[in-house]
Amino acid sequence: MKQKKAVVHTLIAVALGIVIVFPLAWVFICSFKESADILQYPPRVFSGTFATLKQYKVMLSRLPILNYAKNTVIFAVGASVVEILFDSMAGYALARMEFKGKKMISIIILSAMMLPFVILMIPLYIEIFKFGLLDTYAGLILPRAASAYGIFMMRSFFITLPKNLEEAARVDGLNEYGIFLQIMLPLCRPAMITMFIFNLTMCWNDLLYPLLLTSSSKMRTISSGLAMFVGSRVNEFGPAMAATVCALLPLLIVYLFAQKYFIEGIATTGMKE
Amino acid sequence: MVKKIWNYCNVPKHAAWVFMAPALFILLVFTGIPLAASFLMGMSNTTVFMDGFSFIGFRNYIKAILDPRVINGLKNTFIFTLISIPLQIGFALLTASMLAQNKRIFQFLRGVYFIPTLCSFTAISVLFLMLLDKTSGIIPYWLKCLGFQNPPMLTQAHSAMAWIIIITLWRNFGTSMVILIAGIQGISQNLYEAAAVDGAGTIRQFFSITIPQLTSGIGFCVLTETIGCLQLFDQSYVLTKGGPMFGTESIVQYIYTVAFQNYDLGYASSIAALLFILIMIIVICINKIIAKWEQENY
Repeated sequence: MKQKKAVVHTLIAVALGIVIVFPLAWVFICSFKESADILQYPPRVFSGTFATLKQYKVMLSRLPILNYAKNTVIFAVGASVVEILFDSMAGYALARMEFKGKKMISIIILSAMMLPFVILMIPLYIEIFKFGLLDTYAGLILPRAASAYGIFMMRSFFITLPKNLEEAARVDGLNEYGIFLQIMLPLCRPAMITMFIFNLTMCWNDLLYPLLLTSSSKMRTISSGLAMFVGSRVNEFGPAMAATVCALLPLLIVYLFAQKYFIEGIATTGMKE
Repeated sequence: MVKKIWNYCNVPKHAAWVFMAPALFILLVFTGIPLAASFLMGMSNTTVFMDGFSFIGFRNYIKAILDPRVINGLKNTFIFTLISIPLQIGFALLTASMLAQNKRIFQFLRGVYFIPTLCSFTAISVLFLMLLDKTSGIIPYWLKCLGFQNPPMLTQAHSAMAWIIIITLWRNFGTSMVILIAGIQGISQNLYEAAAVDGAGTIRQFFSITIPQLTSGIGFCVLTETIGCLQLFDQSYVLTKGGPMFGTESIVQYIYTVAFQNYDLGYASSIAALLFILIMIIVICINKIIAKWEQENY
């Protein structure tokens, strides 16, 4: 009886998993079909010839997706690297150093975490315009070079490290910066990878932010480029499918190899108390 | 001189400020100043051409309160949020309790259920545009096979909103699921054993142990998801462009339209400021409710 229940339970879980992955599998399979097979009626998933790269070729001629991908990588990786450095420095100070005003800064950062982007977006646009950074990589990266969320995440990590680390290092003659660079930073490598992946996903998938701060087609990221290409309806199914796959696949491949860090990033944000 | 500065910076309490300086500077310039500027800009007639502006008092704010498209955007956004949140939290709870055991297959499935969370709303909106297409989409075809004649997809306001909610559910539940799984695994097994001895079944255990023990996790999910849902933009922007007849236009989308298609940055800022105040009121209310709920359960 109990065993039967467990089998049913597992089967339901597996079936639900298939339903969840279906849309992604569908677009992936269809992107390798001939146009006629994509548009046939009644629609079928497994039919027609596979393994043609025609849709991808058409897509490449319509849409500068390689350029979009390059922009997205520069933006996402650039912003994530700088952010990790700044956030871990600030998180370290908040977690392990005593100074006046610490409590107030912690409260400000906690409240900044809850701030909706919509209130910032128009003044941010004007600021970036006035700095002359609209439509540049610097303009995309700078506002994302630190985040309250990241500071908080790094702070909660540094708090967990043993108390007497600094004292031991001071006895060894290291100054404050040496302690951070030589003792602390190497210890927080897992936390940094988690945060890097968390940021990478955010930047890669963001639509409103790059739409706001880029205006020319050559600076678009994948998300905003795809949104522009499609408009409100899809006329060309094949190329749109190929473009969708190109937008999704890179992160899914990273996920395949670093699944643990993706899930950790989410799970730790939930345990903020 | 250099030596003096170095000695000053090497005192721990000074070094702390050196460590925080870059992050605080960025947050001040790109979060603090925009936040303050937003309310002031709402009182000006700034345009996207930035050719000077003057302050016009609260005229924009009054205009916003009376603007039927602001009301419409708020209505759509609230309907979306009110339906989305219970669905998402409910589904996340269900899948989390289903997959919380540490068996190999469940660990694998956890990874699978989480996949949609990695996909950008833009890409999956394009994907669903094709899945839901009237002539060659596979979902309308299946619905037809089930006996629905000409099911409305994205051409009617109600069904379009329903699809936006479904797609959001599919994309977002994984985040809450992972947080809740971490919570469920933290619950002591003794509680369940004791309940089983008392004769409580699985469902009873779920409602009298799992949910009360998860209050802080559920509270956190409700809070972050609500802030996210109230800023609905990507899905409706790509899927329906706010149509049909503004039936799915969200408030953020309207702000974007006012700012970058009507070029009226001042008016857009005033709507954003009003939305911000609304979100803050809602966040404070939810926080109060969660705090009360947690007290009852401890």
